[in-house]
Amino acid sequence: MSEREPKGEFDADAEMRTLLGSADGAAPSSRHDQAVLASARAAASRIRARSGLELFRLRIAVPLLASFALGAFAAFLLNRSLLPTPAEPAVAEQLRIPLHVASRDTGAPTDEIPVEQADPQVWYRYIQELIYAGDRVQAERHLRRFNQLHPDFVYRP
Amino acid sequence: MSKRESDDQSLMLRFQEQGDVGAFEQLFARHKAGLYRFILKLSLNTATAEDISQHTWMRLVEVAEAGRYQASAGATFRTYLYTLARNRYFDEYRRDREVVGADSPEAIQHDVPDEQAETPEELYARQQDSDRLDRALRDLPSEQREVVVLWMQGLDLVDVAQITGASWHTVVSRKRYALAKLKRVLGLESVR
Repeated sequence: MSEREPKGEFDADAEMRTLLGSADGAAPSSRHDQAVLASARAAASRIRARSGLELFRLRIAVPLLASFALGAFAAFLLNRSLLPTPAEPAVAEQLRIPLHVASRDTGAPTDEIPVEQADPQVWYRYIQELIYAGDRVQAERHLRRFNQLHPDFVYRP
Repeated sequence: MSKRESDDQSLMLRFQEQGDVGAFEQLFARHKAGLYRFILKLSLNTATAEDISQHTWMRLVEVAEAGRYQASAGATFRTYLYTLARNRYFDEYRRDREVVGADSPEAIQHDVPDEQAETPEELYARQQDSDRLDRALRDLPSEQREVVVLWMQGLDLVDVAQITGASWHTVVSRKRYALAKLKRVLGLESVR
């Protein structure tokens, strides 16, 4: 019994419905059935083939492509980290050291000379003094420039 | 929606999504006779009924293959199937809204499935009843015939309203008039 149909309506005609329905035994021909089922089987095999292809895409092709992409990206990052970094800009920092340090007691305390003109040993000791004085920022700037100008320097105390 | 109607929808979705031909065969076995009888009683022509029925099922296969069937809370699978058939019938065979090429009642073959084998006397009596019913249906206006034939196939009036595109009240009214005429013509006034 349908709940969507008013009960009175249904009950009033239930017997009539049964009577009319039982008078009917018609069925489609076997040719009809064969045509429909053949069509359904053909469509089913096409659907399976299509879903198999989609399954391949989802389960194999996509992870495969993703791993290739990941590998390529990792290789790119690795190469980038191994490659020498481009040379620093040619503009060298203009550093100077006090003249009295460079020449030891000559010149006024405010006089300075470019580090390129200073004796490496003197300059190196000046850097040490900067470190001892706690001026790390200035010491690092000098040390970086010192290593550029005197890469083979060996300190002799 | 009943369990069976929900099961119909899942069978249809299995066919559509997985290409499960067994699911389609179950659906076909469940509904082919009802659909065919609906069209036969509507058209009163066996060739038309065969053609519309076959076309409807093949259309359903096409819909599934294109992935366009959607289980809907508002319409059952059977409502959808019968709507396809009804639309095809009115599009192709009833443009002039008249019964064209109706068979004589005697010409309509009433096959009996093996499991319902009857004695010759029973078969003859049932065919006589069916012939009288076909004659009575032929005299009904097409709107009333459509409603009563769908109702005879076990559809409730809400589904009939969906399939025919008429309001529920209109469907109730058409069914009432149709049944009154059928009872009178078939001599079934005493039947409730």
